[in-house]
Amino acid sequence: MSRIRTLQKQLAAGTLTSVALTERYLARIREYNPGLHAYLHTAEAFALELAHRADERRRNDRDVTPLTGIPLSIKDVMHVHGLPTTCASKILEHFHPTYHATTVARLLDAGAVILGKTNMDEFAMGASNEHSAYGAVRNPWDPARIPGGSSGGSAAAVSADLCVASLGSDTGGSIRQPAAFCGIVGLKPTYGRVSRYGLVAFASSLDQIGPMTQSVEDAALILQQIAGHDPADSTARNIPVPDFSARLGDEIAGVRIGIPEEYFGEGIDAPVEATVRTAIAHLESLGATTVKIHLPHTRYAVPCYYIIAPAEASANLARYDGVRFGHRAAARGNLHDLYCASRSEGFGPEVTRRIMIGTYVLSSGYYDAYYKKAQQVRTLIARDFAEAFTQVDVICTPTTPHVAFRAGERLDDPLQMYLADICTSSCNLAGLPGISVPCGVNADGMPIGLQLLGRPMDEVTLLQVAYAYEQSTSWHRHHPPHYGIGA
Amino acid sequence: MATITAETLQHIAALARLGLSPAQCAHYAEECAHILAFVEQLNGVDTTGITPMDHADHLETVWREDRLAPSTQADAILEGAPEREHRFFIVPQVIA
Repeated sequence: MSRIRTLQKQLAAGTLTSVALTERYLARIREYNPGLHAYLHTAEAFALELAHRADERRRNDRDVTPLTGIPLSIKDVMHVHGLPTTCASKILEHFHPTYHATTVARLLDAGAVILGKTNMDEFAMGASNEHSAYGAVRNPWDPARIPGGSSGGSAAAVSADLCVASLGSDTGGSIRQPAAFCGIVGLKPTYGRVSRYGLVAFASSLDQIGPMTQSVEDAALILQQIAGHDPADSTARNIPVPDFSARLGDEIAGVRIGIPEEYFGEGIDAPVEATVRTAIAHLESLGATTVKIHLPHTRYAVPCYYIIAPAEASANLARYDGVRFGHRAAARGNLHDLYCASRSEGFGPEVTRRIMIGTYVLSSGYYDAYYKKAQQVRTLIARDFAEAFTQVDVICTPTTPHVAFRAGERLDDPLQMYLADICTSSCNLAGLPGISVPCGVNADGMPIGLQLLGRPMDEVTLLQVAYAYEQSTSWHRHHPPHYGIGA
Repeated sequence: MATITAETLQHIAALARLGLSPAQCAHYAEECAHILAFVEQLNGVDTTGITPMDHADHLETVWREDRLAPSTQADAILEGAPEREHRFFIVPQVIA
């Protein structure tokens, strides 16, 4: 039984209250967060108030949902009215949003408890969480290593059981990559499945919110609550939301799984490749059919992404002007000087780098050579997937080319950092759903993730296959030592 | 390999409204040149006649009823302003 289902059973039986559960999590956060730095803000009074209301709701038997009374965390890039949103940036140090993100509002409607806001790379730009303006997050499996990024705070918090689950955001792998590095489940839904209203924009054609959980079933339960049309986000598609748990437990005999050779071999560490191939063999043993496929433009995904995402970011981040909200420089001359001083004081080095790249590729004389070219390559990447999905139902790859690296190892080399996205960014470019599930550990005991990619809007099949894998292996029951999990 | 002169970088920084020191400019010029050299491998892809993709698929015009609905209160938004007076954001003098 999944973590959420287990807790629901105890809450329903009256052997546990949401207040007691929330207090337990707040105590764990007080004990372990100073070492991990997974949370930027813990909202004790707010969380306990929500827990009280959840218990009352249950007592009155009123609208009890699978999430009623369940303590969650939210990546600090989504608005929770009443709590700060910093995006781990100095430019939003004292920013308080005036409304809830739609995803947050839907979790609160379901009776969920919000424990606080999790750390991240500044404005979700980074693969290691070392680009947080408020200090890096550590990997619960080995504090000398990074937890991945940009949703590294959420991944570390779920992994160390400092929340039951978390909401992250994924622009080029920011849910799936840290999920793989921290040994948890991370689901990026199809672009358009979940509203982005109240998610601070990074790259609008790529950003998507999704659950980070201890199990596949929990991911399905949370997606159920946050998915669906939203009049406040015209890209959140107005189509029926299926039952994401409908096929959990169904056999996967006959499911066709594509294995793209481009995701194996060069650039992928041998132990990661071997572990993922073992996982694929396991899926075959469950009755799935594997099919060799080709996604010939795979190697262009990272360069394509690092034109399109910075271009969109440079436009989105133009709103931070030191006038309407956020950091405002003290020293100033004219309006132009105020903008320049406020922005350069407020943005960290990685955000500055991406704004510069984005502005460059969109500037007169370079637009066609870089931005338009990248958009054309994006078409080819999407076509590769469309072609592959005529032959297969899901595609299986490693989530990352290696396990979590050591802190500081790549900080001085932005390109090396970008290559951590090598297996994840094409999914965002094509707008597909993707999930990472734990599938093993390397010789140092560091987690390895199995990535499954699905057809647009077919999260149901994705979850079915991920669940079949998870439930027939034991990797989801592995937890980092030293956090008293299961004690 | 792409080269970015300090002059070009200054121009880009000004477009992006970023105030960078000469030392920062030199640093970012070098880093950006590396990143651009990396992304330029896209030049190896034949994209003749390929339509640029500016968004994930399935975008369509969304229609809704033109109806009054409550919006965030201006006062709450103004609360977040670093400097304000009455119901105005304050900026340095624009017209001399």
